[in-house]
Amino acid sequence: MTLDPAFVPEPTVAIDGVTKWFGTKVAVSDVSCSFGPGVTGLLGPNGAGKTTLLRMLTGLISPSEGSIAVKGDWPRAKPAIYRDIGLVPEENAVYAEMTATAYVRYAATLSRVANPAAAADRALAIVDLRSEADRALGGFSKGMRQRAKVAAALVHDPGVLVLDEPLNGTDPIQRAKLIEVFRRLGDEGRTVIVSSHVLEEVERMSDRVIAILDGKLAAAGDITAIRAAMADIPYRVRVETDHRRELAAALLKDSVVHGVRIADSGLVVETEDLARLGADLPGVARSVDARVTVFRPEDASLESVFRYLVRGRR
Amino acid sequence: MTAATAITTRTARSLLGFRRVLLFGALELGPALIFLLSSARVTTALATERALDFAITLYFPIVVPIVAMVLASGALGGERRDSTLSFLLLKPVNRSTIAAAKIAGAVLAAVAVNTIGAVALGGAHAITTGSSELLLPFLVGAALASTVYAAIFVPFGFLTDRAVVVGLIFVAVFENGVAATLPGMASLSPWRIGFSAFAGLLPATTVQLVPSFALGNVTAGAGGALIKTVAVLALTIAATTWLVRHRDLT
Repeated sequence: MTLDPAFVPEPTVAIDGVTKWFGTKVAVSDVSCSFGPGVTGLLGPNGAGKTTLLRMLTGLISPSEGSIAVKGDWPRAKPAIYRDIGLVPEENAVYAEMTATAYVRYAATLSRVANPAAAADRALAIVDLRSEADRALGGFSKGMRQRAKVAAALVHDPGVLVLDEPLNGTDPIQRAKLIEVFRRLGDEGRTVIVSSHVLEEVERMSDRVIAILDGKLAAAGDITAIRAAMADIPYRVRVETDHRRELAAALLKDSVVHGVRIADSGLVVETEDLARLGADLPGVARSVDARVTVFRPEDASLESVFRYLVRGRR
Repeated sequence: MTAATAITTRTARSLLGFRRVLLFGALELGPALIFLLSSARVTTALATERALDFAITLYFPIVVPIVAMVLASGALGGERRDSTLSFLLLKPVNRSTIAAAKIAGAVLAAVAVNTIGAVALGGAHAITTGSSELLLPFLVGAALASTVYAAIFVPFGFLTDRAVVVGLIFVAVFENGVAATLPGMASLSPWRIGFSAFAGLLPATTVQLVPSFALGNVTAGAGGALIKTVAVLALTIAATTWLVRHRDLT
């Protein structure tokens, strides 16, 4: 018997038929999935319901329907579970007047860590923030605040780490370092749930993905399977040129082109291989003496990919 | 340091920002300065009468509530508005400990600031009359009234962003209007709890100078005021615990 890819064999976090509505708006609709040791990416465009799901998972908001269990219980009902949970919230909120050291020590004290000062020092070192530790958080850049929040979430050595868009605002070097940290924590056997709206980001952090769109589970499972599913999606590309008919006819001879439609001032080209079309286009355009002024994928956004995956699941 | 101490200290510190203390400090010193200017060359009896007037018309019904309401409504409400409350609620700390520690922090901040006014008024009276008989009553009365307002406005501030506005309307319309004219309503007036302790600690000759509308049907006495304050604290801690346990943090 094969397991639904939305579930893991030994879950530490289990979500069962969870729905959340705010007034008449449904934020999360009948989501069931589970998370286990290792890094799992929670992927979805902005507004998909990722944050609502994570806030329900950590007990900050209650589900309208369904149930959530972290290590057997819903955290809000049993606050002792928070000893084993670390959350990096999406919002940029920190105690602005506190130094990074004081902030992380405060987190350690509230989490009943035996030696808060030493634990804070260690956590700040992990996120490479030791040299700035005595500066007030109010003066930090967004990326530095993110790192301070990650340090505060890590300070009590939690078994379940929930990270809501943790790489927002970080520079490429820090992003690479944080990704390395998250991967290492996953390899150590912790349950790391990382939400992001950037597929490439999630791909670098995790092997398993839960994709959410419009509050519904859009896809789940191995990242390579999701990539493969995405490979079947026909992309639409807008091409603007001074020789529409000639270029359209020439493009139809290219094996990666599924169809071409003449629209307004340009063409709409359908392809399954966006990269190859981009590579082929200059040569094809030269062959008919056409000048290409615009080459813009029309629906290659993550959202359209998810919509395609949702249709596939129904 | 325990979690409760850490939350209490952090709450009190965050509420007592430099600019806020400066502003409230000026408000606290105002009645004492006016008293000093108006009572420079009056008899001891008249100075005491005027000090009581300032206590009844300015300090207890206006200064103490404003300071305590503004400070306390930010203890949980401020964190909710700033989105920092999730940091606190995602810690393995009992919700009742969080509630009690937040209220304790707000009470400490409110009492600390209102003590400035109590010392200033009691001190100004002592300078004018040579007697420090009002100092202790002012300190105890201010502490109890501040505690009651702070305890009520921690959960109220968590519930609504308009807690201070509603509180000011309540103080102006109900406490200083309705309760001043209908003695039966005075027992629902928080500042009168503090004022009853103040009156109860006054020398017998001085307490006779207190006009009846100030206390209404509330009996003067520090013991009764203390019991009421403890009861309000217990109720508000229970209410705040329920709120942080059951209210979604959207």
